[in-house]
Amino acid sequence: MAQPRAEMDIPDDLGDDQTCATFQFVNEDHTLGNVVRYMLMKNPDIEFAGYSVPHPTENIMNLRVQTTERPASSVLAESLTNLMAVCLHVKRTYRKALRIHSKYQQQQQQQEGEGGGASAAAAAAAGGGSSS
Amino acid sequence: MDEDEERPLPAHLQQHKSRVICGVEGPRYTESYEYAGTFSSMHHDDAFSLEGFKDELEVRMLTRTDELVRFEMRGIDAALANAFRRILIAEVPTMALHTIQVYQNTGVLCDEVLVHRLGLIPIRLDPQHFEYRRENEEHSAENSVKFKLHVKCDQGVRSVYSRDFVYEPLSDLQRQKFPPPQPSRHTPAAAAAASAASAAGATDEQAVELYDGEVYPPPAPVYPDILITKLGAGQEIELEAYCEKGVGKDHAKWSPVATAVYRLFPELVFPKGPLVDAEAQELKDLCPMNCFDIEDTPTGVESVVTNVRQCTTCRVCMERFPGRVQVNKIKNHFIFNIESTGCIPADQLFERAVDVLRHKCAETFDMLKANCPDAFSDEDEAAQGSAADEG
Repeated sequence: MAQPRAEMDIPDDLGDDQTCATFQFVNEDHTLGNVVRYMLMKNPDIEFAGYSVPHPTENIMNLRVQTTERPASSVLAESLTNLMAVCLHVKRTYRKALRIHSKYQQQQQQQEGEGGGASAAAAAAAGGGSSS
Repeated sequence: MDEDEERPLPAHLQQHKSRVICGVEGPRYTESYEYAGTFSSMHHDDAFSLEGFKDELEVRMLTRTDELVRFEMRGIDAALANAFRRILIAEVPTMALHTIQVYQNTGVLCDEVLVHRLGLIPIRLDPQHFEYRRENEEHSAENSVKFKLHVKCDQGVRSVYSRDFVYEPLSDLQRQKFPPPQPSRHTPAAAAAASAASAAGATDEQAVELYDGEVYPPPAPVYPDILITKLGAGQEIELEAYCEKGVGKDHAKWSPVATAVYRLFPELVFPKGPLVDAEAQELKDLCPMNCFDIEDTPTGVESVVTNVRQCTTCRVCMERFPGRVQVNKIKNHFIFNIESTGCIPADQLFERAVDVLRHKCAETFDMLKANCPDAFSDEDEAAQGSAADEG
């Protein structure tokens, strides 16, 4: 099944006021909408950011961006850049956690091996004691 | 004091911002304060900073097997955690049987039901080696893997299992990259297919391209003993199935996870100091998940929280001791539980979900840049470039 490509409808003529824009995403939903909105809200240049999925059976997501000074598209670009950097860092941190955990698992196994050996020796000693 | 100096939030606001409080009447302070300037009048800046995020983010692995990973992630917002969860369920690609040609089916299960069951069988095959098959595109070694299923029941009842599938490479390159399993005496069908395949391979030996990449295990159902159907005496099934790449939002058979969930990290506190003596013992006995214990002090015994991860928010403790035992949830601390269907090892799934989100952002960024180039400063481009390089 071919993966439908994401599309984006960007207002051609923003007019004189570059600070307000509604971006329409095709084939995107709450997954991208909510993270982008979150990242926009965390930007100090933002006056308003919100997204909506007008109807659940239409594969459309609208993103409204209003800024105080800068062009809306530039703030959106900055947020997307931030998100990419966040993803990269999350991935690295996750990998690090995996490495730490596999080291820990190895240690556990080694200890279990030693512990098993010791208890076997103890059992043998106990067995020897009872037989004598 | 300098007016512009960054100040920490007062304790009560910090509490509302970072904790959900499970009160007797219901949860309180469930909202998150997203607007960067929410507390600007208090000289507290909530704007996003990558350095701050990097300092805060912590991941700790709790359980890791091929089928299940459990890990804690601290310092991430619910919006991001939820995006990862949603992507895990619906947008991480996998391989599943999609196009099926039924030549013979005299069993009790009609074609469409049988074929639906086949689609849901998880196949162990890494989708990274394949492309999506476009509509009306031919099946090829680049976009699919072919399986044959030919089972006939001579007498009695014959169960058809997922192990009866025989993998047939679509090209020589695929044969070398995913070598078929050695023929086994136990499955005559497999042996026959393998001998036929080797005969076919011998005829066009000149055309064989040398493959010097890594060799992968043959594609096969994750579990050999998935019951597909049962055949009565004289009944027969013969079909060819093509395994294709797809995502969970098209059909649940492409979802790589059985479950992908997170929960907020619980916090148990004693706002008026720990309980003592008889009450401490009562609290210990009360909690069904054994979250509390008692500890000796010079003046007697008092309660301590020992197993906070066990807490299931049953709220028994706070209902018995209202105002003295409090159950909170930490808003930016999540416990993820990701259970794979087996098609991709569970510990790889999360990374793939993160990659999908990053790819989405990159795609959107490129579209934005193509449409309004004048809005882009050089800094943005440099930052985007560096983020892409590191990936």
